Amino acid sequence: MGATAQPMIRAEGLVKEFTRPVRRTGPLAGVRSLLTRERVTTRAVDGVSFTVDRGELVGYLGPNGAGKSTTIKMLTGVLVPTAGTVEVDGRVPWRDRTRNARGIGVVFGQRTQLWHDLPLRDSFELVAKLYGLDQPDYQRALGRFTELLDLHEFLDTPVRGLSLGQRMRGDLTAAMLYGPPLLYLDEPTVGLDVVAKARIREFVAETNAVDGTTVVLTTHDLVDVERLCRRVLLIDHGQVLYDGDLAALRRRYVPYRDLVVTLAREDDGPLVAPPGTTVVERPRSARDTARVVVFRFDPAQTPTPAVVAAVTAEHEVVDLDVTDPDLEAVIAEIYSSGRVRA
Amino acid sequence: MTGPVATSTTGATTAAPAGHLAAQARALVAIGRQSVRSALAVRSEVLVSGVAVLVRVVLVILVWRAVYGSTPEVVGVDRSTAVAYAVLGAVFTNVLNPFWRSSLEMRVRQGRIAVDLLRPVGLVPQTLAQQVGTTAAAVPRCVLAVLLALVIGALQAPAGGVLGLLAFAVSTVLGVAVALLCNLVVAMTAFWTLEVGGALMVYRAVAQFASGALIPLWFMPGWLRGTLEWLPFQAQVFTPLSVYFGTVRGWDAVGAVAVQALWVVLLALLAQLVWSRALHRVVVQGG
Amino acid sequence: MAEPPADGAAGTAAREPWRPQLREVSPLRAWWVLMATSLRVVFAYRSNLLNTALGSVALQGSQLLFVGVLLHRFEQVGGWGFGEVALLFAMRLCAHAVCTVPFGQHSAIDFLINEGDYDRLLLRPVSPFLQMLAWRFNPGSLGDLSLGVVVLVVAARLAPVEWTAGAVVLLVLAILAGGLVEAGVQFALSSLSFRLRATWSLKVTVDTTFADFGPYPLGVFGTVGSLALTFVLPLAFIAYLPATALLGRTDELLLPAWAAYSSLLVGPLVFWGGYRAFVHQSRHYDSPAG
Repeated sequence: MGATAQPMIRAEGLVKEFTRPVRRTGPLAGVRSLLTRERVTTRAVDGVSFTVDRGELVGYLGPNGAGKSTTIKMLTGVLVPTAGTVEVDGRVPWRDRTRNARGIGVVFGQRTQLWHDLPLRDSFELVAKLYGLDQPDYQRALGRFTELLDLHEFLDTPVRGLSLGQRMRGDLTAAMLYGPPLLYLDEPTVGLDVVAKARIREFVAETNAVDGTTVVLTTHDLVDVERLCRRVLLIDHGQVLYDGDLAALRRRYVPYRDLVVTLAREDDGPLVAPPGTTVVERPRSARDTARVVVFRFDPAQTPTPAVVAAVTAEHEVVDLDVTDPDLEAVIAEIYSSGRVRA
Repeated sequence: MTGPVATSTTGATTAAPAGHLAAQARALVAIGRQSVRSALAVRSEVLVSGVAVLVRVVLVILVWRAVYGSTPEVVGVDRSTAVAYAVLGAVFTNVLNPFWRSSLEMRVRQGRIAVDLLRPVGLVPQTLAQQVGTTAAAVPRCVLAVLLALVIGALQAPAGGVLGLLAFAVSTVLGVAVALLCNLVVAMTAFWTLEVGGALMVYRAVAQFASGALIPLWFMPGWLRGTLEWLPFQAQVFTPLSVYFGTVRGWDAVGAVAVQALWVVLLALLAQLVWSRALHRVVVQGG
Repeated sequence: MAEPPADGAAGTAAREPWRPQLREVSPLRAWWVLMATSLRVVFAYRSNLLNTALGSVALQGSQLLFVGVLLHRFEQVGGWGFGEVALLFAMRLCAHAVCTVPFGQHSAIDFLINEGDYDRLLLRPVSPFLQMLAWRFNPGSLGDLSLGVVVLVVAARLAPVEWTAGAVVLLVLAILAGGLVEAGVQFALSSLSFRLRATWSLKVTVDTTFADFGPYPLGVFGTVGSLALTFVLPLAFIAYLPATALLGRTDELLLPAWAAYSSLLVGPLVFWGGYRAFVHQSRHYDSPAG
């Protein structure tokens, strides 16, 4: 993160266009598309620029078809950009693909990088051999990741027999075995249960903190983002909508915070809203045994401790919680408006 | 609650036969058309298969002309008949023994079979409709190949005039039916093993040779020809071509066509038997 | 249930960053590592191995049977007798096995590209071309090889050739070169997959043309046919040209007699050309969306 260090990723004016033949419908569609040569060009990525510093953990977000995967494919050297430049660790990924591949780990939540018919352990051994990891190093790495991700139970199970969560842990190990300084994660928690998600997040956070691995995370799960990323890149229609601090983004959209309190007694007299707050009555659910009240306030105007102090002074409170507005709502609004508010 | 449901069911059953059959027929036609469309979907594939059959026809003509050299006749078959037979054999095998993998096998492999069983149209008719569609998609390129052979004088009109042509048409349809049913039975082995690739290849090779598509049964040693005549393969290609060239004619031709029809019935029964076993297997053991 | 955060933090502090030194891995070694794995997987599924090998034997065998019946009835094809055609057939089939055993996985290219698995290959530090060849192992190629060797041993006795050391060396080299020709052609066709999406029927057409029309002396195809099967589709180099050298029939060639030996050079050249075409076209790879 030093000012002199070269960034891990530098993308400038990245563009990727795809040209595909037009598919026809209607009568004799087959014959007609046989005879014509009409093609259509679409711009999946349209002038994307950003840098990622060493050791950063960046969330790369966008709706389906926004150009996320295409960008990642250009960063990993799978696709050649139509225009613009990209450098990863000082290398042009597609031109120096092999060397780039040795320096990156890639995990796709949707499809595994492991060998279907082989036991997990054999997949790891293959990865070690293909990346030139020495036997002692491999043994150390295997021990380390087996411990960290708790792989003991299924190391000798063929990959096709693993549960989704186990497979993800296997994929993460395969991607980190050779200690790449850069890790791409594409939907790493998709389809996992809460416990499995938490385990993956913990591992990613630790890899980032301990190994200093730079992480680019693509996900639809905003909990992933909230737990892991300080910085986010929002992309839609192939263009960057927002690049910056997650907290700042949230502040800009919903400049309020909620203090949720559970009152000790049903009949606690009239509610007193401290200055700078408004009361939002939460609709009662059948499960609520006590009265729950929400005080909404702007933390920039009224500091959170002041609100808490004021509320607890007026009412007898059994429980309280301070919540930030839903990130999902923020993102949804940005996508629907197509831009980020100034 | 049960009242209205019961009435609607009885209503449906009384209306069922005609409406149900029509709906089934419509569904089958749709499936067939869909497979014609998907067979024609990729332009390069269509062009290549078209050129491929033309090239093959030209090459077999050259080979058979060279084989005969200046010999006018071998075992009673003259040069022009042998060449013309080779042309039609190449065309027939192009349609009847394609390298395609049956949709049935794919469905079993992908575990979609359970869903397919729930559809209103039976799985066997579905599979046959798809095969008919793919076969139909091959017709244009075959017509092209036949026209080419006619133009370069490697093929003559069928023996026996209009009646001969009619007999050939009937026999061809039955030949196609025999081939489709054979394909179906082989594809149904997918219910017992997922490794049908080898079986399909063996079937294809045996069918190609034993149907007389590569070389007419006329040229085969007596014992081999005697054996092959008891198998369904010769009903696919050799019988229609024998009718075309008039080597069986009159009542013999009627008899040959009757044998084809018999094969259709036998294979349909076999397919039904294998299918009920397969169904039992799916129901009992799960797809 | 969950460990207190303090403990977790302590564990973290104890860990050292994981940045191992990586050795260079030669392409050949990487290929072998992958190929050995594919072989192991294939041999783990014995029944499929046998099944598919049998399929290949049947496919090639039907052609053998056809040629056998033809010669039984006509005694010669284009002036070549039974033993001569048998040798030509055997050389063609062995060359085919030389192509399919190590290089047969070119047939997977359509699948790799359309299913997005090619992406996976590009993420690894190994040439995607080599990864494609080692992606899976087609057990059918072992059927080609076994039938080819059996027929070759039989044909070598039937063919009117005096098997001097020189003749045997020529036979072996010719078979290897023939395999390289076939592989090179298939690589070149595979390269079209990057633009056409589907080259399967093109490859099958070329493959069956080689198989079905390979066992004939080229003369049967006439002047235009022979030239086309030499210079457009290089069928002649796979077995026919060196076979004329072995059988002392170079006088029937349309080309000078030394051309009978040219396949030894043409084989590696076509192979290299096909490989270059693949590498060149792979730049047009458009990963499928999604």
